[in-house]
Amino acid sequence: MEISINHGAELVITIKGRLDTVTSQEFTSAVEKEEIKEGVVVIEAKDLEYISSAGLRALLALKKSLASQNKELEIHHLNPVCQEVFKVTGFNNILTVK
Amino acid sequence: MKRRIPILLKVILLGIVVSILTSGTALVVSHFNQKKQVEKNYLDNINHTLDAVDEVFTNNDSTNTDAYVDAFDYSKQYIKKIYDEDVEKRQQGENESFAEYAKYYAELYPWLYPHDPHFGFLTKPEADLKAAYYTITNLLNNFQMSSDTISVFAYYIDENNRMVFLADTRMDDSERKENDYFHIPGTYYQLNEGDISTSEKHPILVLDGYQTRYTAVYSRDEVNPELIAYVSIQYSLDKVHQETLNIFKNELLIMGLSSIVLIAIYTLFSYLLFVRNINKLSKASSDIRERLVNKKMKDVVDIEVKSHDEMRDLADSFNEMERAIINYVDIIHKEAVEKERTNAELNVASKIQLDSLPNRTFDDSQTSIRAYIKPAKEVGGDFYDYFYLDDHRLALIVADVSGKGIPASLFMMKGKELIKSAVQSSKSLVDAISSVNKILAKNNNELLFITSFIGVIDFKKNKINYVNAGHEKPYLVSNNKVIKLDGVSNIVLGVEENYAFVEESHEFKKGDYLLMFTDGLNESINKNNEEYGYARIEEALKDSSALPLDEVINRINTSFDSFTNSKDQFDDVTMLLVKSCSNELKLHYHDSDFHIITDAVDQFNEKFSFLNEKTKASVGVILDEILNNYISYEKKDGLEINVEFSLVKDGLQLVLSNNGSDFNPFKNHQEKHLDKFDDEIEPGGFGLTIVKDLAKSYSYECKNSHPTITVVVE
Repeated sequence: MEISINHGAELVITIKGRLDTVTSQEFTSAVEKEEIKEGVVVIEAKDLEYISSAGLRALLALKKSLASQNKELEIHHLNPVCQEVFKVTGFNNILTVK
Repeated sequence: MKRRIPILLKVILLGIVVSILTSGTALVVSHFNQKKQVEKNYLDNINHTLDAVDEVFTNNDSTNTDAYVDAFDYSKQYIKKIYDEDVEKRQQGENESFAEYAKYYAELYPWLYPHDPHFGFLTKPEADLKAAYYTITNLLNNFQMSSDTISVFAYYIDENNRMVFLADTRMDDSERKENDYFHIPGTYYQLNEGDISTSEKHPILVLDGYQTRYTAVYSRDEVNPELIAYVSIQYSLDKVHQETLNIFKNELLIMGLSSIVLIAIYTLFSYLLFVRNINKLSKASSDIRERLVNKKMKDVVDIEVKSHDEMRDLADSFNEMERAIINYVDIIHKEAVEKERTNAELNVASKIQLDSLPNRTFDDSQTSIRAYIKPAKEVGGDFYDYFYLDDHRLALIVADVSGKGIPASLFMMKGKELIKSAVQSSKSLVDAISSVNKILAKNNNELLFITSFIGVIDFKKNKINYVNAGHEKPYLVSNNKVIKLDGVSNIVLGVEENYAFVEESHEFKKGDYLLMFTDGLNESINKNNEEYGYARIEEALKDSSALPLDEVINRINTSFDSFTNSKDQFDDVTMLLVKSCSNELKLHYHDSDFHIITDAVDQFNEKFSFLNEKTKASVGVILDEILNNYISYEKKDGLEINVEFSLVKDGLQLVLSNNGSDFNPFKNHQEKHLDKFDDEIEPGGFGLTIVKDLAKSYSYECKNSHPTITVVVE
């Protein structure tokens, strides 16, 4: 998995590869290091192969952290398998999916 | 480039040159002869006239002779008297004006020409002189009339060698022009040495540039005749020359005109005889393409030459040639069309043949197959085939039909279908091959045969059974070891009806691969007549166990091409490579290292790269969730997890087992689904929800005390 983070009007976190048991920990620690000033955080998922429950946990933790600061978390361009995972777990109800 | 000169122009030029040379020469020669003759005649006439003068003065019988002599004598004496009195005035000079002459003249002959405007004042008669003068001039006029001369005149020569003129016929010439000089009586002309030439009977005297001939007049004293005077005839050859020149001009004109007519006739005949026919042939030759293309024999227009000569022969040859060419063009055209049609059919046949072979690449969970075929001609006799007999037995065939082209390809199609149906329906490989051999051997009048390697791989027993019917020995590559399947070589198929084939077998482990090929590979020769051979194939297969099969084919092709180094391929080259793929992952968990999950997904993706992205992603998620579940549940080092993949008819089946305790995670599991966000959401419990959703089916059992989950993904 590769993560790149770009600050701007929104904080854009681009994930390339898988967000799974192993990589979700890398994801969490990489995001925790960032000082988030922006009001909206966008996960760019066009190159995300798949996401497992471990990845969902990491996203939920980020969502909770942002919600406490009144910040939004969005996830963009999910592939069909990721969309299915989001749908079956109801994550599409707690994150803004675009 | 040289200028093009039409042949007709050359013919005309040649005619002109020839006619100038022939008639011109004749004309010039005849002109000179004529000129000579005319000159001679003219001078003869002059001489005859002078002879006549002599005759007059020497004729004793003539009564007139005395009168003439007296007249001369009288005139001479009279003039001599006047002349002697004033000789200095009398020289006939060229610079003197006509008026001066008139003056002398008036003094001498005042009775003459009273009507003449110049002499109108002269009226005084002197009877005797007048009579003598008329006598002389009448005589001289007679002579002049008898010969074509300028003038006839009389004179005497004094002691100072001067010609003193007595009379001149031109004096009373009524057509005389104003400046037409004549010798005025009483004037003189100074003679110089050389003026008189005396070689002839009538000597020549050149007077003022004019030639004259003269004769002397003597008195009739028989004893001592006295020279009284001379009579000269002045003549001009220019005049006769002019006449002959005029004749020449006329002749030239006539000859020119006749030459033109001749040349015209000659040209016309040349045109009719040669040029016209040559032009016809030339045009026909230059139009030959047009005449030949798309022409049928009946459309041929013969070139007609009416003359019966060599031109006719040439035209006949041309016509014959044209017919022959059209005939051949027609034949060639038909052959070309036929060949084109055959080629097109061969191409279609080749396409049908290639289409009848299964895919060049095939991948599934237990095998990977790559085929390579390069026909030497449009259709060849090589073929390969592979098909499953059931879910774990794969039949493989590589064969080569003797001969090439259509017959070989027909025999190949027959053989291919026979072998397939026999192998599919027979109990054993030997039965199948024996029956195929029987059928092929019967009615095999063309004596074609098939060399063939036919094998069946059992992926469960990890074994290959095969029959080699006179075919190249294949190579088995196992753990980087290159093994030649060098067993019994049975007879080729289609020759001996009742041959008893021998079946052999060999271990065929996961990860092993088999290379089958036809003799086009090992028997191809380079320009030094060396065979590519087995050794080079073995060299290419070295250390190739870990290589993808495509890479193995590349290696062999690179080695083969650099060896043969030739564009002309003599024989078909066919290769079939089949690999037995291992589809089991053995995972060993220790030291809390979750990376075994990542490794498992990576290995799956590598083996099943041919699956679509969605399936691979689903399998990835399921592997992640279940392995995570196993590890999280057992939480012990040394946990062994076995994952087995297989393609089943519903999709891809995953069987995951471990050596831990019997635990069914699906039992009492509740799907977890979030409706809205709040801070109290528990992060766990999504994994199995996702697995159940992505799997087409899932089940748990404890097999041989190993907890086992079986999942099928579409």
